[in-house]
Amino acid sequence: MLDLKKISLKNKNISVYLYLIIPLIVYITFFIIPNISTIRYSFIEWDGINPVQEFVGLKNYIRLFNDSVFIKSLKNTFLYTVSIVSVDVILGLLIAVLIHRKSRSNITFRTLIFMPAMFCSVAIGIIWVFMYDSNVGAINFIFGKLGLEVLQKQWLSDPKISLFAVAFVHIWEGFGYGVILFIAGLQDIPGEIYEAAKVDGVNNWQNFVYITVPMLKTTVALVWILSSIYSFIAFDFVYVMTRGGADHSSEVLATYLYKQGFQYNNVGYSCSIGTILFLIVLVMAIFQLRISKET
Amino acid sequence: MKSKILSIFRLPIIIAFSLLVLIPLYFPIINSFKTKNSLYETPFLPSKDIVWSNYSEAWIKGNLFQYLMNSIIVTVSSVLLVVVLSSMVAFALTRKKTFKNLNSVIFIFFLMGIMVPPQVGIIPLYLLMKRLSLSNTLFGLIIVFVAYQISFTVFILHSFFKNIPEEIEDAAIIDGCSNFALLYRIVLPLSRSAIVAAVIFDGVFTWNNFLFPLVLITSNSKKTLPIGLMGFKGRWLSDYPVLFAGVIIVSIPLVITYLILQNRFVEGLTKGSLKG
Repeated sequence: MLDLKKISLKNKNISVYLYLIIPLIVYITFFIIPNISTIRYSFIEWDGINPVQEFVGLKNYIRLFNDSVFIKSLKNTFLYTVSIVSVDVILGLLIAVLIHRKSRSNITFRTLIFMPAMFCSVAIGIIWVFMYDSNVGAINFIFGKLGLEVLQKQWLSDPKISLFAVAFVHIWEGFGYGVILFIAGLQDIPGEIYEAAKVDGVNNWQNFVYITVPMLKTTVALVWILSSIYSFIAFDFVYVMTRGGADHSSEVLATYLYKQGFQYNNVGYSCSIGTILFLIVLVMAIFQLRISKET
Repeated sequence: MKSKILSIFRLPIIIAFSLLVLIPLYFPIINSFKTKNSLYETPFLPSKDIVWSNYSEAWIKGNLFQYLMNSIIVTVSSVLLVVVLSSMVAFALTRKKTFKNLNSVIFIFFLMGIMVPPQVGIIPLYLLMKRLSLSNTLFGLIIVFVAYQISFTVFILHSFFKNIPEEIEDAAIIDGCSNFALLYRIVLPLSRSAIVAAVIFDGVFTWNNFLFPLVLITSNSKKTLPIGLMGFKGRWLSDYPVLFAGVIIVSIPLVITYLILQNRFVEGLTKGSLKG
């Protein structure tokens, strides 16, 4: 016994903290410092090259809210997010209910519906630029065949619809994530509950409303939050397919941040957009953490 | 639990969704085997004679071999590094005989990374990499991927390491096991499933990532597949057959891996979102 104590005291082991040194250096240098710099730069005016960095206080933020393109991209980002999240949650839950049982065909369908998430965004962007093409694209062709010529549009260049055309591609790519999370949630509901309900003469619709939905509350919240965060920070599809056009009609926060920083060299201004993006996502992430703790 | 209405519509809904996934994948496949002219004549049907030249043009003129090599180098080394570094962190923070409060402070410090979108710090990151002469190098790209994924990887491994029974650790220490041997011989082999999940999550993220190489890589010889394919868009503007050949070559490695390991992928990628 005495020996054991000695050993464990000797091993109140500080040397294991040496393992933290390299990871901390990498993490602090290449993650923490750039992100803190974003907040710091948001208070200066700087082109990124000139050695003079002028402190301007809140000027960048005041400018943001008088910048019609920023306001537009903020609005677009919310619209983009809302349209994606509602599809991911509502249709995702519906599909999951249909296919959550472990059968061969269900698993094949699950594999299929998740597959688009394996393609890189540039490949998906090229495919969908073709799909939306007004001469050779499949979408206008299908609408033509169905006699729905009214629905034939210039999908990516019509300012009224380009944002939603890109959002649709985002849904196409990420829809499977929500379905799989819902399936995992559904499989966690113990079968006995439904059996007990059956004895009590509960019908299927009541089953869904009074058992399935309440039991899935946390999964629904999780999919809702994750889908919100991923669509709120969306960059790739917009950049690949429209570059924010036509006339900023599909501009979102991340693409506007990129343009201000890398094309117009407004480092400070771009970083103020980054700070706002960060704050909004932080609120979403805190919600998410709360939910994960409950599960 | 299936309601009657749902079961009537079940098959049509599943067929409709399958078509929605498959139709956009059908066009690149059939059209990559056509000449440009025959694509513009009949874009919706497969052609009678198969044309392979789009693939050779994409592969050779499109420099895809170089991009593929770069993608492999970047993905393999950053995933390897991030798993090694993260397991060191998770190991140090879950030892029973260290300082509990300090551990949770450090753990939370590492977790902060999960909540910050990559776009937020991208401009200072670019300026920093330029100052350190690490921009436009594969090494720089690798280290950035490591730094941005360490939070999430620590999180997955930590939640697994902390459940390894204390007795195993004590027994090993009594046997004279060093920390390194404890981690390497006992903790890591016990955590295989968590490591597989982390490798898949980090691997898919790195392989398909667009933003970091877009910002950090400028010279053609150092591009990864997604950024290389972006170059196709400018070069073969409306020459869809070559573009599609590129799309297919670029997508094949990961899609095939996914189809082979589908259950592990689904598990790994959802484990990530559930915990992250």
